[in-house]
Amino acid sequence: MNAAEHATGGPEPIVGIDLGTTNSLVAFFGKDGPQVLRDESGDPIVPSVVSFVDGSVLVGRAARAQAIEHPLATLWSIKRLMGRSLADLLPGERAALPYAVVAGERGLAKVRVGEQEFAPEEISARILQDLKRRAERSLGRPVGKAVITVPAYFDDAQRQATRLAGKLAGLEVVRIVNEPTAAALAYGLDRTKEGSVVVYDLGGGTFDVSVLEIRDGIFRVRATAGDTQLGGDDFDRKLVDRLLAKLPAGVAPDASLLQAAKLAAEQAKIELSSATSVAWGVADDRRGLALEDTLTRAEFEELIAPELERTLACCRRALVDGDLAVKDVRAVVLVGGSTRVPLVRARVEQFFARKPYAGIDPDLVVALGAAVQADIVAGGARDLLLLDVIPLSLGIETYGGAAAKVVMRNTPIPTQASDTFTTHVANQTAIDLHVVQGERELVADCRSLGRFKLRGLPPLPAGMVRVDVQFLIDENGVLTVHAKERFTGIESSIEVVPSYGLTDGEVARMVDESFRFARQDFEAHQRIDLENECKTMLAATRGVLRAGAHGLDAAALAVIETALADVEARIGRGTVKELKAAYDRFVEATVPLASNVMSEVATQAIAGRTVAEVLADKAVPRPAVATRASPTLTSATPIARALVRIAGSQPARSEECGDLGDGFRAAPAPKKEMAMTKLDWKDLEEIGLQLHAAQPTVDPLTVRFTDLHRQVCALPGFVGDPKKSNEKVLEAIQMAWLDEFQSAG
Amino acid sequence: MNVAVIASCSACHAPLENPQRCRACGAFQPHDPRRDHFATLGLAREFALDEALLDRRVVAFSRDLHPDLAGAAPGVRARAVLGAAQVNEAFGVLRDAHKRAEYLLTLLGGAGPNQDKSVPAGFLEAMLDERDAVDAAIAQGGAAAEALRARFEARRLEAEAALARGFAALETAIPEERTTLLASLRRELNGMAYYRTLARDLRDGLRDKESA
Repeated sequence: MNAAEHATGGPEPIVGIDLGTTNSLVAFFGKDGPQVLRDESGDPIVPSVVSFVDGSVLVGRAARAQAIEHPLATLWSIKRLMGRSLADLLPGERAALPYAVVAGERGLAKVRVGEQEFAPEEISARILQDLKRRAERSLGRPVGKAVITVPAYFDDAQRQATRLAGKLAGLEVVRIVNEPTAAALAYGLDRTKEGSVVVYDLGGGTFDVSVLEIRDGIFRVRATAGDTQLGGDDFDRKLVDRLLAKLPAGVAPDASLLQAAKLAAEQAKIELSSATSVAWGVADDRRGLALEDTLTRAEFEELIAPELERTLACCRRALVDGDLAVKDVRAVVLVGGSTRVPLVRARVEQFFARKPYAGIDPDLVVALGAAVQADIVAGGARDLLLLDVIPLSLGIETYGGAAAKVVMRNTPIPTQASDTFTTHVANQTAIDLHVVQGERELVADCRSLGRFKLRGLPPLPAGMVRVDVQFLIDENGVLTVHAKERFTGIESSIEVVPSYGLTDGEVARMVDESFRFARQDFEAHQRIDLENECKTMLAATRGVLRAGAHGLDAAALAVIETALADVEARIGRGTVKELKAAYDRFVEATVPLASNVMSEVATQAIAGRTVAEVLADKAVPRPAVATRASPTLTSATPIARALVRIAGSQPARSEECGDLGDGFRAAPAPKKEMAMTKLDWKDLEEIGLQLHAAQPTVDPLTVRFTDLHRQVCALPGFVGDPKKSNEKVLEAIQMAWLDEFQSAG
Repeated sequence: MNVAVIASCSACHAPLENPQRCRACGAFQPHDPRRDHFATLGLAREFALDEALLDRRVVAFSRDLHPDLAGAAPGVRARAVLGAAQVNEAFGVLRDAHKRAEYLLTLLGGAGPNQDKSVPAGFLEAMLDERDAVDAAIAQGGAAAEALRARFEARRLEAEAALARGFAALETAIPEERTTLLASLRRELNGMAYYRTLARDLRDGLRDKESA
């Protein structure tokens, strides 16, 4: 369909929909550009509220009117539950909703009204249906396709839930667009502004800031940051708290009173955008309660100042991530009803030292942008491309539980990146690759995305094997991890969906925490790296000394022994600084030993290498077990490295290195693995092992998933919830089984 | 000065601006495993970089390769994803002076950061003093912290200038000089890594203090 068909009323209009937490809108790009479609009374907004009262379903303002009388049957803020499991919700998030939120299939959040349960998608679909009807009335023809906007932070599960809601409402969702991008489109920034644009979006329940770079019709997302627990509702809550403080002692507010107070607070807040003071309150006739309050704008501004500072902290972070200074920002766009609050505008203007764009009603701007995008999809009118980024870093677990980041957050996608890892134990023939997502330094604080195993490594001393791990992320954020051992060429790979089950709340929380805990994490990571390095060096030195004194006298040997014992005593206790100092003393003490050994090396040549090769240090894996020594830990001098290499040429005795042989996990504590007797879905290798043991002749690739599911559930000791598996899990199990099957020949 | 080699399309023989896809006939080019990040973005293999040009190339090549615009046929999409991923990977490495220098040094046969950890004489002692300076600046905050931050920033720019000189000298160096030049670039980069950590610790320390 082209523009001409639009004008003549072609058969298939595509509408743009802003499906918001608080309000929803629908818009269409007609002859006169994008227009929000209004109801008979000229109202553009459909409150995102659905009520189930007396057998009838109400949507929008009519539903909202039921909130006070029927708080348990009136559903609002449903967007917060889309694509999320109950476990994903923060405690405060669930408590803020007066209606019943229960666990559905696979733990996904559902709402209960009376005897009925609804998925969030179904409730959103009611709102979308209402918008669809409104569009059809307004355009005078059927509407079957839509572009729907979502927050930039929405993950795959949440985007899929949004698509599903559209489908349930009879709409084909032709494109999901990020809200900040839509806002920039509405302002026509793709045509008129070259440079960096900040979109400040303070809605009812969420805050998002995005830094976009626009050039030649390409929108490049440079960085996103946000807080999914911050918005105009928080302003209301502060007013409600202030009002409820006036309740007589011993009287508790019920759901109706809370709803009434919330609505009154919202009204008071809106009035304060133009008035300098407002008298407001609620009355509960049944209980004979009347609460009254007078609030000045100055008081209101004092109440919300901390929330505003939090939004500006996010702006600061997004600028740093986007590698921009305030002066580089060419335009600031305000989105979301809460940006009507005068103090919000004033603070944003002050922060960016420029007047923000507010020419378009901040409640309408996202829907208008969605209509522009709908027009682009419909007619290809503009050659526009959005280059998105990944919201969270991706990495691999290394020995000791540290997370080595391979792809940093805010990297443009599609992208690829690789890093090299090595073994920790001599003669280790398999390595567990644990893919994690998050900003924290320790795996325990990150989200686990999947595990796979690379088997058949050549039995070599620790640190000699080289495994190249490559991450490939496609334009949808789907990650494929591929591992290959450099010398033997054996390889293995896994596809993971990074956002699987991950929520925007978690994204925000994980990013937030990473900032709060950055220092502490860094030290923990540093300690793990340093301790690993110490252990390797101690073992190497012992190995060398066992082979002889290398020309050292008893006094020199004693100095080394003392320094060695000192390091050993500090592993696992004391400060990192103390350990580092002891380690440095130890390295110092081994200098005479190392130089003697080096001269022996010069005459003997080691492990089949020529002297030149040894000295050139080519093709020799780095010694440290921890994969990527940070710059502060670059203490392994060439001399110390020589020791490791020499020790490496004389395979260490297995008991000393704690050799666990094949199947040793680089990642989790071995203790835990040994104690494991019960099987769950996540125990992929063990399940694969048992399946193969039970049916050694069956090729796992010939087994259907339904049968595989049944077989796993029937395994002795299996305690996993049968409902908690899915195709990805079954596929991973199939792969683990295949490993066993193939290694058996 | 190195000049990026312009190859021609394997299908229509038109000159290739983007080594991965011909703009004349739209054909994707066979994957060349020897193509480095500089070549991927059609840039000369040298440290000095026109950032505006880098940016233009990323945008233009993304247009050629991004799967949203390249078409949805299964074979085409996979090739487009890989191509766009390589463009973004190259961009990530080349836009950052430190990463660019590390990468170029490896391409030129220099040692990696884990193979040669040497630093200039007296550097480690100086680092201890710098570490104290960071701790003091965090404790004092205000102008003292800002002064140290500015000093680190100035040092970073100086180091980048030294890298640029070193890499430029390498281009005209006779073989006997190469080893020395490569080693001195390695030392410069090792020193930069220390200062990077110091600057980060200063920033984090100030932020921790502010939020506490």
